[in-house]
Amino acid sequence: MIPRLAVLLLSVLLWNGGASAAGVTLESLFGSYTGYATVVNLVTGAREEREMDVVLEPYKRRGFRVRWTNVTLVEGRRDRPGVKRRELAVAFRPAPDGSYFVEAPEYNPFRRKEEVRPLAGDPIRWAVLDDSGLYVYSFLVLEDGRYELQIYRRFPEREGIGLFYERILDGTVVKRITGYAVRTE
Amino acid sequence: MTSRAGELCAAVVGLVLLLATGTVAATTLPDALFGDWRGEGTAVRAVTIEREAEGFRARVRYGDGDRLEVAFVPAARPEVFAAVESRGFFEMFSFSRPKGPLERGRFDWARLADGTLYIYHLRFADDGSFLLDRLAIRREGGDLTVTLQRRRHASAPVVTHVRLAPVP
Repeated sequence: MIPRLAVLLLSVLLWNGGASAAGVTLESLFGSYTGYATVVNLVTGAREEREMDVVLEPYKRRGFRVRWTNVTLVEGRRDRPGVKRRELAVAFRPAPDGSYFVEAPEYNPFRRKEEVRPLAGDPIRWAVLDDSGLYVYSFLVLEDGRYELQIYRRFPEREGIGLFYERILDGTVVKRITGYAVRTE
Repeated sequence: MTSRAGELCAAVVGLVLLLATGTVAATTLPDALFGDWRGEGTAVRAVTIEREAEGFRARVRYGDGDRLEVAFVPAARPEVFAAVESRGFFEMFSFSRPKGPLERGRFDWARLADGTLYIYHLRFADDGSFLLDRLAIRREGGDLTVTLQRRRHASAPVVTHVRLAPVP
């Protein structure tokens, strides 16, 4: 019974891997999506459901931008007091000498380009596209010297994209989000 | 006279407090953490921590033969240490933006908390994948215990714990 179950699970895993490994490109991910995600606080065990809208779009030459809106539901609804809405956007451009992407700072002709200084609180953000999806990393050194690493993985799934997110605090995963959003027409 | 003595005493106390505060900001490591330790661990085989003029230098020899050597100086944040970065000749005279951690390919820092020294080593590959080491180094009796947490890319981390003996 157990070996049969193991074979079945392995088959499902391999099938999913094959589906997402079929050459993920930025162009195949570009689009507008809407769906749901489950947020689990691994420290307290608290769970939240949220609606999410995601737009993946081209940015300048060979770059991309992710815009997303999260609405954290109250008792499964968005028309209840206490509902939280958050909009975020980040753009990336290709790294000069690599096959990955670096955060594209907002253009400001009056501001001198400055060095990224993580020990002064500057985040390091970069993105990697491989056969398992698009990874966006945000790395930050906190005031007390511990680090925070956020990993967003977006990957093709059924008629849309899947989301897997982890927030890692000095080596410990403290928050995990899994979700699915369907491509909008 | 008594009043003057009181003022002088207050000034001395103030100076001592100021110096003490300065010492906290420019903290160094506890004496117990300086030394040379060796072992047969599969993850970490040797750790050397030496005093430097402004901070300390750490040398780590991993089980796979890889080595890490970083000089640290106190950062602006208390109990946090920044790696001393050597800049290339052309970079020193360049008017362009200084290189960031992604362009340099690495970023190192350290912190001290509850007598444990944490050394962090973040290394980027050309394809954007990364390796992040977190070494927790602590004295236990005469030995040094080292817990290495190594994270590669988005994979789950691998944690190993070794105990190193002092080199006589």
